[in-house]
Amino acid sequence: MALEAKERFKGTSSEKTWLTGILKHKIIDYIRKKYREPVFEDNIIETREMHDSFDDKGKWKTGPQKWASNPQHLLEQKDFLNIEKKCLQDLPRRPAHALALRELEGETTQTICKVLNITATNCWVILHRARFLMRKCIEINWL
Amino acid sequence: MINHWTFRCNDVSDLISRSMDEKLPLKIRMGIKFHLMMCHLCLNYKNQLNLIRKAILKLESVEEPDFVITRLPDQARQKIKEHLNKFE
Repeated sequence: MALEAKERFKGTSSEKTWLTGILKHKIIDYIRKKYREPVFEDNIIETREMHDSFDDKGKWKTGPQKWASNPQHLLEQKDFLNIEKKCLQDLPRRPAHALALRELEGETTQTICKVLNITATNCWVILHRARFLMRKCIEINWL
Repeated sequence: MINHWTFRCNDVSDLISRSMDEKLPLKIRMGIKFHLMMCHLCLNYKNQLNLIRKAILKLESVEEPDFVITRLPDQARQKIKEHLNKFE
């Protein structure tokens, strides 16, 4: 299999990167098979998104920029609220549900865990991810 | 565990979100505060998450209230109702 694929491999990377690539795919395949629950698929993506925003010392690569001198003013703007709405609708399903339960229904994380059938740790991660994605989406669409 | 005086931005972004859901231990809160005094990027992050929270509530009151709620699975809504009934 690997040798067949090597035929198609155009030699743009060294053999080492090629093999590392295969290994990574194998690991991801393994995780996928082990955890059929969609939440874990979510988590794989989550790690990548957040990881990409920080350098190897854990600092922001290009950090959150200031949106407006007066945040209260933003809340009065229809355009801003429309973007907020769009970004909320664009969130992946599970983070969107977690965030809606938390912010609109005012549920505790304990309840959210039970409702979405996830562990407490995943609940933190999913809410963190939801907010992280919302912020990023708004920044991209607003600034 | 990481020393709370040397939190990094990626830790702090995570902890800021957690602090919106639960009261964190004093040591952790001090660590976040300390980091925020020196890091305007994380401070922006924190302020923006608070703004997003307020805006979500505003959406519900100004816009069609159902648009997010309907995204919740029926099963989830049912479970919430059952949960709430226990306290009545």
